[in-house]
Amino acid sequence: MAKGGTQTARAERDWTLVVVWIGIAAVVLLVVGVVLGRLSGAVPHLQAWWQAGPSLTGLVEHLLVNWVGAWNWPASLAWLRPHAGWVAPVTAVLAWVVLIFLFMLPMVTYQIYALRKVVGFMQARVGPTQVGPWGLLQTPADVLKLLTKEDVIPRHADRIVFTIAPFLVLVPASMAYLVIPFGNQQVVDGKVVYSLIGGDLNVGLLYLSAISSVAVIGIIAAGWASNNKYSLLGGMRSAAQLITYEIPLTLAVVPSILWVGSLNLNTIAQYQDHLGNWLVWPCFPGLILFAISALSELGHVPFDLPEAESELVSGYNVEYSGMKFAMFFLAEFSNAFILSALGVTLFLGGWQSPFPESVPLLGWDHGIFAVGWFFLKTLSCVFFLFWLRATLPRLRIDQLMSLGWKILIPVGLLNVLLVAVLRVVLG
Amino acid sequence: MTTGFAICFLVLAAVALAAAAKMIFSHHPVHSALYLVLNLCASALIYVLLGAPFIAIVQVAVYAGAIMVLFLFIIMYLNLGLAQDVADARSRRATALATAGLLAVLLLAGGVVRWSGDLAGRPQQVAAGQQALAAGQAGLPGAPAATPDAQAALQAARAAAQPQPGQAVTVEQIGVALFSRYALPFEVASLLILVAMIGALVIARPQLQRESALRKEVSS
Repeated sequence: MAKGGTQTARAERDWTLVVVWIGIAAVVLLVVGVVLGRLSGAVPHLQAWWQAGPSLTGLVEHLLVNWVGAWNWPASLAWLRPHAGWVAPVTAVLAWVVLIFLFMLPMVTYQIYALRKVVGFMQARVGPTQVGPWGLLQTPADVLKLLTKEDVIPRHADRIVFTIAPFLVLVPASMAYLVIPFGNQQVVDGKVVYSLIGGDLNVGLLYLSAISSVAVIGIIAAGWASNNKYSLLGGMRSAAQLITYEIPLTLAVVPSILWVGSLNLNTIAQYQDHLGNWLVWPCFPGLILFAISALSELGHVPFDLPEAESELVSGYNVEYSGMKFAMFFLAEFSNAFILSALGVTLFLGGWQSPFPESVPLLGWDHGIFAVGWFFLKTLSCVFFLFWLRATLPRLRIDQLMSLGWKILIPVGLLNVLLVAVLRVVLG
Repeated sequence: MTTGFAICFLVLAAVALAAAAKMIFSHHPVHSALYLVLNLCASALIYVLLGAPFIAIVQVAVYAGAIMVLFLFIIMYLNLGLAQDVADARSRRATALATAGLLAVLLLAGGVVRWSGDLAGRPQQVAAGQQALAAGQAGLPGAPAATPDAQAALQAARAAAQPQPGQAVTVEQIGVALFSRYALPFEVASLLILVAMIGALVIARPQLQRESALRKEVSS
């Protein structure tokens, strides 16, 4: 079979890919999350919690407290207690890693389902209807199909680079969940009761931009390793687009940082505690810039040149099949969620409710209510992306480049200056 | 805690060194570039361990995210292959060895100077602070008012002699340092980058003009 130019892989290999992906992301997240968590001061609380030993932080804590009951220290683990300074954050980050993967796969699967339904509705079609009620099982079936598909590696491809390229794209995408504030942090008497943020990093925003810039390497590597001229050209096209729009994206974020005076996403979300404090008001041009650049970073319409199905032979991923192809797809849809979440956190109040605290139910924004508001806003942004996808025509490559370099970057710089002046004038 | 730190450091250092070695000995430039990315990421994680998250993240964003992307872009754009590369490497071996040797000597010399300077300088600072404190305590003429200052000086000197491990350097501290104490080097560096940018434009300019002339010819 190998002589046929392709290699048939058993389905087990695909599961190995998934395990390796989770493993790499977990190791990197552990080092970053644990050490930075220690440095940013979250750990003394964690240490106290570990030494007392009742439960895990965040959502896991709620699950444990409510479902399993108070967890007493088993005698076999008592020797770990003196090492609480390391064990506690490692457990917390590991719990977060598990949560991320439990969350990411179903989220992406049903995001694709929602996309097909929404776009179908807007184009007077019905979308998937056959598998399960209302076609609800269509996308899980698609995912399973991809997992069992033959994994083809072209004969003259660079096998190693071809295999690691999907990881270079997907691992950064899954690492981004570490710093997204899904909800508030409840602190009583200096002790963190629960926290709906994986890693409360002081450099959270920079972390996100650094992580996302690494994914470009994966895209170029995928295009090159396939040893196919269409892949290579597609990879170059995507990389050029990503590099171009990373600059206005970063410039769009700067006004929010200037206004709040922090790079910590949690602090930025906390600052916007009522509707008047939402950063849309002072940084409105920033939001527009952010939306345009984010669309381009995601390769969404009207900037979907990386995979312009109707005119080009897709892009860097033409030669990929099976699970590896799914990994690029997973990263793309996961990034759509992450960028929506980032936009919500930076401009639209994060997990805060738009109603005053006094309004019952609608005004509440802590614990599960904070998570509810966060998802309501983020999913609305994702819906906005689908809406554009169903509506707009595609830009040409030269229009795309000149929009990025000649319009968005100067406007972004001007916006930074404007907001800086406004900040100084208003104090 | 220190054991965990040591294990993390050793693993990361091993990864960084192995990646650096593979980068040098790989036959294909694309592989070398990817190993360099791994090396940069591992050293970024070492910076994280050392309590410099900002530097770590800037390292990843600038080197891995921007410079290495450009490297890869150019390597793939020019389609630099294996055979030509090996032939080139043989003819340049002597130059490469000489350059590497010079760089190694310079780095080592720099490290030694810095290290011995630190050893010599910090105790002096501490001693100066102690003298000042002693002077304040002895109640020398005009000294009582200076006592808090002297104490602060001693503390500052001690802090300088022993940087606190596990204490993160914040972005604010770096920003303040860049725009006050290191304002001149900072501006000089930005001027240098500006000059390089203008230089690149000047070099690319004739090419651009030729192309636009060609385009006019074609359209007319």
